[in-house]
Amino acid sequence: MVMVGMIVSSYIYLALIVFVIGLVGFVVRRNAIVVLMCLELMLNAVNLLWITFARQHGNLDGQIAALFVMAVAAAEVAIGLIIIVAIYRKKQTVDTEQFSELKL
Amino acid sequence: MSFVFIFLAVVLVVSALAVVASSRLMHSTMALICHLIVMAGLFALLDAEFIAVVQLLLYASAIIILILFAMLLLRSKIEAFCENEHLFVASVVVVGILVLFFILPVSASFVSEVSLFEQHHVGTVLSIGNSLFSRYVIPFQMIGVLIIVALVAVVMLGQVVKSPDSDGDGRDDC
Repeated sequence: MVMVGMIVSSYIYLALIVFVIGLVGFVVRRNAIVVLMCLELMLNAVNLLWITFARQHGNLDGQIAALFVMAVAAAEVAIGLIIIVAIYRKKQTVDTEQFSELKL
Repeated sequence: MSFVFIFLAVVLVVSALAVVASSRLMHSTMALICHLIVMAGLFALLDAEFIAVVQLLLYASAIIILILFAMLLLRSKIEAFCENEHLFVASVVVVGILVLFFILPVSASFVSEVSLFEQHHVGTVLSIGNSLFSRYVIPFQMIGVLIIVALVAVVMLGQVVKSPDSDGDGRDDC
């Protein structure tokens, strides 16, 4: 009997599913905060991969990389949210369709 | 162990779908909390206890608090999952093609039926600290510099610039 929770590939496919859900949401959703949350989903899926491979190979480098990803994600969320707040002050909306000043 | 994994995986995928598909921002945030806590459970299942604790402290509390504060400041309308059907279909098709032809062949080379639990247990806090302060000390310091820069940037961006043509701090519509 194959133990699903104990083989590497089940974790890989789980991370792939969550990453794809986050990617579709990132493209489709129009609320800027939800877009940021979808980014978090994708980063978390990548972290799951790092830790799975660290467990598979029995060394710590993957876990250290996951720690660094988390720190960068925290900085990224702070910057992203304050940019959204600043744009909201200017335009009174968080709809990404309205953020089109940089469009050619 | 297998049942724990299946339970966590199902909750993880369902909560990820709820984050993406909820029409209310608050429901998305609650689903994101559920997702992050379940992800911490998966990390613990993979013998990475320290990462699981950091996940709970950093993601499931600090980042969620940031998102909730931003939601307090902003007013967003209730929106449907996707008003533009064509955009949804097109993005699903593009992502499907990407996954089928690029990600799956690459990930198939990593897939192995090796049991995860033959290896030694390495994820203790002591060994992570030893590694972080010896081999990875330069990246660790650089992360500190990055977070300082990010916080200074947040303070700068958060200041309300007083200019005659701007319409105040955006609170006049509450």
